[in-house]
Amino acid sequence: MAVANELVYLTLREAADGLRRRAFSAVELTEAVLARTEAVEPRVHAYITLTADQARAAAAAADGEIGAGRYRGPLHGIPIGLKDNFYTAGVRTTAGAKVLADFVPTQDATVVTRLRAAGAVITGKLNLHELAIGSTTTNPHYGATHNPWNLDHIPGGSSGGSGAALAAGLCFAATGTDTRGSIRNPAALCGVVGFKPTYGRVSIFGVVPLSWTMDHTGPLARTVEDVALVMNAIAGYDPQDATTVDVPVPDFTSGLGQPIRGLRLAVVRNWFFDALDPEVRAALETAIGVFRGLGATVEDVELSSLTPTHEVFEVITRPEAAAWQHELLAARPDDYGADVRMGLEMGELILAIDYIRALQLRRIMADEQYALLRRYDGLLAPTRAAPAAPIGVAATVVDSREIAIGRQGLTAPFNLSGIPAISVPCGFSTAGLPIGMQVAGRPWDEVTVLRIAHAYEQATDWHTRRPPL
Amino acid sequence: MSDQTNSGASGGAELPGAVLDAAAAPPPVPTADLDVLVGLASRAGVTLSRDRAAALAAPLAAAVDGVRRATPARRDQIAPALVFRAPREV
Repeated sequence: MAVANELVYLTLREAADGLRRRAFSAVELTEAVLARTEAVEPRVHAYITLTADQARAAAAAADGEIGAGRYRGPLHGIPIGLKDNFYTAGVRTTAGAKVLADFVPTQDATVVTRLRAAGAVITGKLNLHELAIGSTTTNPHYGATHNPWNLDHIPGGSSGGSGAALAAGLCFAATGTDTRGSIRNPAALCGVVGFKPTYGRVSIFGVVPLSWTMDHTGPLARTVEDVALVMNAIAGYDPQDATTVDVPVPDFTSGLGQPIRGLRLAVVRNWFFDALDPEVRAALETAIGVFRGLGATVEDVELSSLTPTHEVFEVITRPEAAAWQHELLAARPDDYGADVRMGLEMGELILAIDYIRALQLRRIMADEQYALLRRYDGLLAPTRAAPAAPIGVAATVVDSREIAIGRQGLTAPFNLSGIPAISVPCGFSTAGLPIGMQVAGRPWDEVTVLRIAHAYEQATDWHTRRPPL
Repeated sequence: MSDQTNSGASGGAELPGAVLDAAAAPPPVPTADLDVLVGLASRAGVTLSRDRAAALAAPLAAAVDGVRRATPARRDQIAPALVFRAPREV
């Protein structure tokens, strides 16, 4: 058996290859992850609920099946964490909220069902910003998750437990939800990969909602190939989810390794680049040079409709969130964190006429992105305006402007349009904090987005670095 | 008899463009009277103190004002993305 700490930082693909050739067992892999969790979880606090015994049982079952020649595929026997807003039958699902502290679903979310069918070993339920409404994962009810790269800093959010768990070596992939960037933001701040597929590609059935028209589900992992492998297990039409679309599901790994020479990439220079930390800006410019070096044609463009992005997002999502939280908010207002309560109260007060106007603006913004993607194969943009902020800070100065932490994410435009977008590591600040870059692409063409991101990843070594835990 | 089919066709045949333009440029949304917010919340069934109303009045007005300013006057042919779908092709 390999040394435990060597096992926990294998990529998912490497771990899968090891299991298939019986270099180690699923039980050994799971025990290594659980030992690592026991060692670092008191400092990182990635989990709300650890399901160690269930993980051990699932790993033993996987070993039995693999030993009997019934290998299910690359996720078989692989420890994977779930954001705690995915329903798990018999295991409480809090969504990071006090008002859901006692919620024990009777069935799994579709994504969880598909992961179990693929043979994944579920390690537990990962911390998040309360109700996924926020980007710090400084959770007032279940504690703050700490960034493994600097424990005094946030991991981002709302899937902060997912990002931190991967950076800390506590699992090989994790699920996330992404309404305003909640997969991509923590991926960027924790130095891992986060992938938001096309809206409608992966089911949101059995996920505690934030905003039905904007919610996406998807994977986080340590490499582009690994998120593609998870996508192969979870993507596809779900008759229980009216937002999913019955379109052909590709092999999401099929474009990996293909050259990107000749592809046309656009750098969206307005809005995304308006206020950036100088080190983020420099990292992006260097990354753009890497794409040119790989033979892609890279051009600067602008999207004129982006200006009201934050306002449109808020006027759509706050009433949608309030619509389903309404009774709980009315009955138990003091059981919400201050920021989430205020957001829900705002949602109660937004008029239908403004909600409709925001949806019209969403149409305009989405159409402009689709038009751009007729001319380009992919879009490049920073994921966040600055590296991870210290825990407890409401805003930081970025490029001489004070910007709230919640508005440092540069991810919402791709939620409004529903196009696939990935965040990959593209550098580190001088303080040793990760920086992320987004690659976005045409709806339903995740294969090209993953191909572009993978080409960049393979030309750099940012994804190979590990935090000093 | 006048030809009414092209009247107001400054932005596209048949659209009431000029009519909409004439009513364009809505004034900024004022920060709502706190009593109005408290009353609205009460009508919705949510208890909102004046202190809490004061705290959320400004961000609420900013969000709504941002949307109203950005919304084009000629929006009669823009179907809101009520049931959002990404197109199968761009």
